[in-house]
Amino acid sequence: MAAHDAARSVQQKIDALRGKGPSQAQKINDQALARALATARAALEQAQSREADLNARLDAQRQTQAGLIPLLEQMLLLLEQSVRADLPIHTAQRLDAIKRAHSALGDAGQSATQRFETVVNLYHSELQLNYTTERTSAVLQSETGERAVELLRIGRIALYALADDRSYCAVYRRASNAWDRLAAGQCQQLDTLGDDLEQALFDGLPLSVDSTS
Amino acid sequence: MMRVLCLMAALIASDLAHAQSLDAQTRAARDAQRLAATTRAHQADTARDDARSERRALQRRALRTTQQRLVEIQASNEALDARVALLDDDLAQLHAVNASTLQSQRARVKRGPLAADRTDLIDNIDALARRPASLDVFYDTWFLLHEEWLAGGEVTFPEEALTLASGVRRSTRLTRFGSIALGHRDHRVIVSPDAGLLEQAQARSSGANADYLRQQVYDSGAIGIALLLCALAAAVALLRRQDPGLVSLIASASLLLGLLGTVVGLIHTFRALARYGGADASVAAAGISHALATTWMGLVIAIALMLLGPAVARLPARASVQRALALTPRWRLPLVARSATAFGIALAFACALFFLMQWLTQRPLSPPPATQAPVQIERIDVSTPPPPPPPPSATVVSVADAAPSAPSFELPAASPLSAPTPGVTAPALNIEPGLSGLGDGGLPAAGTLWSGASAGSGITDGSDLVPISSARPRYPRAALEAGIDGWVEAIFRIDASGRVSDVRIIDAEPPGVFEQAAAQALERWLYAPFYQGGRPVAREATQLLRFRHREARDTYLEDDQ
Repeated sequence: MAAHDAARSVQQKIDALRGKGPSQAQKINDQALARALATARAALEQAQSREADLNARLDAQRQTQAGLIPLLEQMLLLLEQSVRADLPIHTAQRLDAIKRAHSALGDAGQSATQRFETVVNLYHSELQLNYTTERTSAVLQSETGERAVELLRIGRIALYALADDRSYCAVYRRASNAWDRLAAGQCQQLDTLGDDLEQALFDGLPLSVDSTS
Repeated sequence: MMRVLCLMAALIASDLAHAQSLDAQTRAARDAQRLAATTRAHQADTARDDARSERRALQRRALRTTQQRLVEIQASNEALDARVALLDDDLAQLHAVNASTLQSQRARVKRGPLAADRTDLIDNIDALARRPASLDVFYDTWFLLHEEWLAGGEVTFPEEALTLASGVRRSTRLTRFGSIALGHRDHRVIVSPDAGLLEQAQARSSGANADYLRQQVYDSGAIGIALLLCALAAAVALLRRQDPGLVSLIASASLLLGLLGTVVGLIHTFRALARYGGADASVAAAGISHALATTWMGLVIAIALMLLGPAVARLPARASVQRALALTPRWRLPLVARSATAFGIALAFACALFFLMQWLTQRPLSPPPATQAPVQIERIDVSTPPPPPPPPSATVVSVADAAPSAPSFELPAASPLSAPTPGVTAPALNIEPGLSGLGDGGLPAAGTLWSGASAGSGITDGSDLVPISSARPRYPRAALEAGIDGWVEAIFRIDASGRVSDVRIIDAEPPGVFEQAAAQALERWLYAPFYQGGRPVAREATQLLRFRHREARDTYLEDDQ
């Protein structure tokens, strides 16, 4: 009887121990936790990827903005050099415009777009000279004194001077930075240049640049 | 007996008791073993539960951390989004200004007298406008603008003279080099102040003079051909009246008119030769060749009329023909219609003759040997280097040979610029993006050139070299015809003014084919002066030029025409 009681007692203990395993609810909770963690990790990975992408875009934009002002300064410097080496066509005004544009670059109140637009507009105004002709009056300084002349500009490739009395005409030579007097016949051509420029050029009217033709 | 029985019973009872005792002990031992096993299993389960609990706790902590990090990053991303959007707006505005600039340039190019020659440039402007806003795009836009500035301008002067052939309106194009171009393809006279290019420029100039002469001759020839046209119309009308005497007269007149056209053409030729020099025999030959074309045409007409005249005289009279054909009055056309029909036939015949003459005189000749390939001059800026501006700070390692004081200016690293120069077509050349600076002390790699490769950040580090102007190498004709591709790598010196000299071939594949063309082209390249410490300095650089015959063939065939 005692042995029987002992055996029963042991069986009860064993049953008690077996009943202490993880419950089904716990297992479900564990699975839910794992799923939540996986989802959170995926979302984090996605967010990090987007962050990297945004940072890259931001870097590129910063780089563009950081490089823009040096670019504009280089544009103005090259343009200034080019204008100085160009024909004396409104040189002072053109250099002044470049100087103003350069000053505008340092204006903190202007946006990058405004600065860029300023420089681009300057180029546009410079390029206008390429496609236009112009007749203006001027006074040329020479060793013999002052001479009232009419200046004829053809793009940025030819600049002629014709005295008011038609006794003197000259072409500006870029290479020597000086006026080169033309023959009397060429003065007549200059006088009527607007009528038949092509023929005058083929007839030998020189340009402001060196030419073998 | 009873005692024995009692003893036996006692023994049996004793055995039974012992057996029961043993059985109880055995069960107890078995139960103890089960309990021990269960206890061990429980302990293991407990350990697992502990581990599971610990993992669960870790997972919960990780989840919290992840969620916190996620919230942080999402907040950060929102801030980044806002900043990116802000900068995007700025870039969009910049892009709009840039696109407007390109649009203006495109319109100017399209309006220019040589727009047909600049389809490459227009295509590249369009491609540049399509690219997203970036520093590279702004650099490329600048290069296009400055190239246009350097061109000096195109001033169009319409001329009323129309040629009979095409009625093209001629125009004059002027460039800063003193170029003069008629409004036809490839008629530019490139005149360079640079002594090294004088000979080539003269050769090109002669070619352009020949074109000019040809145009002049066609102008005079148009007069003769117009007369011939009228004469032919009259001849056809006369043929209908079957008057052999008048046919002979018209034949003679055609011959004389053809001669007249030739004489006028020769006058133009010699007049132009007197103006532009006649050292080049090909110039005179081209003009005279085209002047003779009207005589050729007059002869053709005269001979045709002389041969047909007697045959026509032998034909029956018009009335007999009508009777023979049994034409009823309803088939007879009125006089005006008959004359118009005759004139139309004459016009068609004369036009056919005219275009036949053009075809005969302008058909391509057999190509010259490769060694005598014509010199091609591309647009090269050889102007005097500009005077020095105030020296900005430029820190570039470079070599010696610096001028004493000069402007400090550096061009930026060029981003891909596929068509950098107006009027220049360079499909045959693929320039590798790497232009390596090789100055003393191992200079860093330089920036990139044209072609389609990426230009990186586009921000110059001061060590970049950019050609302002480049010449396309002349594809050796033998290699072109044989379909040979190849490349040449050369090292050369860029002096303080940006000119290229001392070109040495490092390697070439195949050897002995493209080296000369590459060297000749590179010698005509011009770079922006490279400044160090406010002084222009010389540098050495390497360049890889690729030759691909498939891309070159169309261009060179076109050039040959």
